[in-house]
Amino acid sequence: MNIMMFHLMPYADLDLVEADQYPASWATLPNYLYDPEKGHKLYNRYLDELTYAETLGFDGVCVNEHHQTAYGIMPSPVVMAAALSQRIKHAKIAILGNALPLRDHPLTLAEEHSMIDNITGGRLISGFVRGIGAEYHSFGANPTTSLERFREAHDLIIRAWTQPGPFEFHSKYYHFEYVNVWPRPYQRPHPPIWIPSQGSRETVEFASHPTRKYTYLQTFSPIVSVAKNLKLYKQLAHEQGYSAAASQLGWATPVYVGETDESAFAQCSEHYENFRNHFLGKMPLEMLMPPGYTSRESAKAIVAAKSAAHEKVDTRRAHQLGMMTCGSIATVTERLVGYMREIGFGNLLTMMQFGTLPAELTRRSMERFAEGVMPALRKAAREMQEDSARECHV
Amino acid sequence: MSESVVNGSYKLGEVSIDLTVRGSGPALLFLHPEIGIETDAPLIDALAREWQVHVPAHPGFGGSELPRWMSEVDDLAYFYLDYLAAQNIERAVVVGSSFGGWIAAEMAIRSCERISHLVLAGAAGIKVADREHRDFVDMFTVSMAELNALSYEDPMLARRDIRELDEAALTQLHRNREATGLFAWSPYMHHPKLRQRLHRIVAPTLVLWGSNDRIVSADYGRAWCAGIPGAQFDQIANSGHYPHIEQPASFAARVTAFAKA
Repeated sequence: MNIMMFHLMPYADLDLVEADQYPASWATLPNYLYDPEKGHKLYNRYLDELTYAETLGFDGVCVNEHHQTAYGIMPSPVVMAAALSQRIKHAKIAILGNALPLRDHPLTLAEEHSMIDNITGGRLISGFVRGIGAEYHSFGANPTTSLERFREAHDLIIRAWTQPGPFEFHSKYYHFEYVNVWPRPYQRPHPPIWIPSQGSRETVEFASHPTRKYTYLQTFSPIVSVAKNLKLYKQLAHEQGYSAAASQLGWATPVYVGETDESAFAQCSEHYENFRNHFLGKMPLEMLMPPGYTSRESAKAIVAAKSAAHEKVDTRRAHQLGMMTCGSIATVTERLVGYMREIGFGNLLTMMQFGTLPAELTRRSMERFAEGVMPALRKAAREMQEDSARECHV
Repeated sequence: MSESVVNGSYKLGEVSIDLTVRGSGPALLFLHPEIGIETDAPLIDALAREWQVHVPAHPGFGGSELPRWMSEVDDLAYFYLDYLAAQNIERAVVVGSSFGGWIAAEMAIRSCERISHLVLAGAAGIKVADREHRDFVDMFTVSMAELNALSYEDPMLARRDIRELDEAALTQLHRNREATGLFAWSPYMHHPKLRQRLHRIVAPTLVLWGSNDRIVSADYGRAWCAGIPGAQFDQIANSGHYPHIEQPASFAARVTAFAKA
């Protein structure tokens, strides 16, 4: 069981009232709202939190990429991974992920990830994503060719990591006469690839393909859709003649552990709702879903049901739906162990800080999680493993 | 040429497109804007009184196929130059609205051999403003309701709600947006070199603008005229960005008067 701490590094000092005047919290939210003095403190606070996660016994830490938004101030997760490589000595460092199609030169990612893998002696987990719709506005990248570019950039990076260079690569979108990446990755054949997604059949198919067997991560979704997509992964694996390991399945979700259920909700609700409704929240659908970014059928369905995406979600409702987990050590343990037994994921990515959750509350919640929840999860995971080993022998 | 009515699909090379041909007289090719065109558009009837009107749906738009290799507006320009040749049309009036105007201009800089007259209506395609300002409203970031409000002067059209569209119309709307994204996302609605090439247009050219175009300004229309030798500029009253939709009769009359003068 891999228990990781995931950080979005939101700009928690955002003036929510001021920001609320603007129609979108992505791409066009004016950057005067960002104060570098406050940003300086936040970056270092967040690095401290991830460093503390290693001290508390988390197996790894995760960073990711977002652009032009207070939702996350890591336009380059590689920069954060590099900073973490000098603080975190044993745990894994996961970049979840870099958005391949936003770049005209995906080879830079092959190089940078390889550098981090070398620096950390093989502790990098490499995540590949397409980026969210709004980022195609920020980068002037064409959303209608995003999927094709993702596939091509993926092929290029994997080849660059595994095939002796130099070699030529001429695809529809990328043209290189000499692919010859220095440094080669530390891990052989290359760092593990994780594919975070909000859940689309195409993505699950891509990750589960027998030539790849990438870890598929369902992010920030109601538990029914987590269960559905991870089940789909296992089913597709089975259809293709192999059995998916728990390590191929992951779930990323906000978690808050308080002393009691009541105090947990009282402490984190406002901050979680800020995450949902102010940081993630506001975006015209047209911006969230630029043309061609999703399949036409899902675009039609979402536009038709226009109000759904703008629905405000409160913390209790989010907890009920399993979009996040909040409560005492007992409550959180019962739920997470239950979901793990039911769904069988081998990677749990806890987002211990979200929205405006302050440093002190974040640390106390992390400590309670590490003391109370983590051992129970590990024990349950061991039992599951033993059970399945026994079944194999029978 | 004899009276002809075609409503259906047409295959040119490997590409199958939706095509409407109506009326008799000299040929007129109408290149629709980013929002496509309906086959019962009043404009087509208005033009068909004087012309044999050819109204294709561009590859990727409406019900037309999109070949995998097409990705730039020059692909469409060559496609329509090939279309004129394949149909044995020796001289055609080529009329393009907005995104369709961009295709028309890209055809004309390549060859005016088969183009008798060129009409650019609210045409996209050139870069006029400085590098820190866009010429064209970003159709991909405003909501569809806001885009309709900006596109039309007529409040009935401006208030159209896409939630009232039927399934087929909604599919076309999304295909049109996707195809526009493919061809015009970046650089947004223009080719950086097109303006330098406008001197190659030798066909008589009329630049038409809605009197109240809030998608792209009349000054942008005048910039087309400055680049195309001898081009005339005119405006159509009581219209926003799509005068062929809001004022089809005066649009058709203006085109006919220009091309038959």
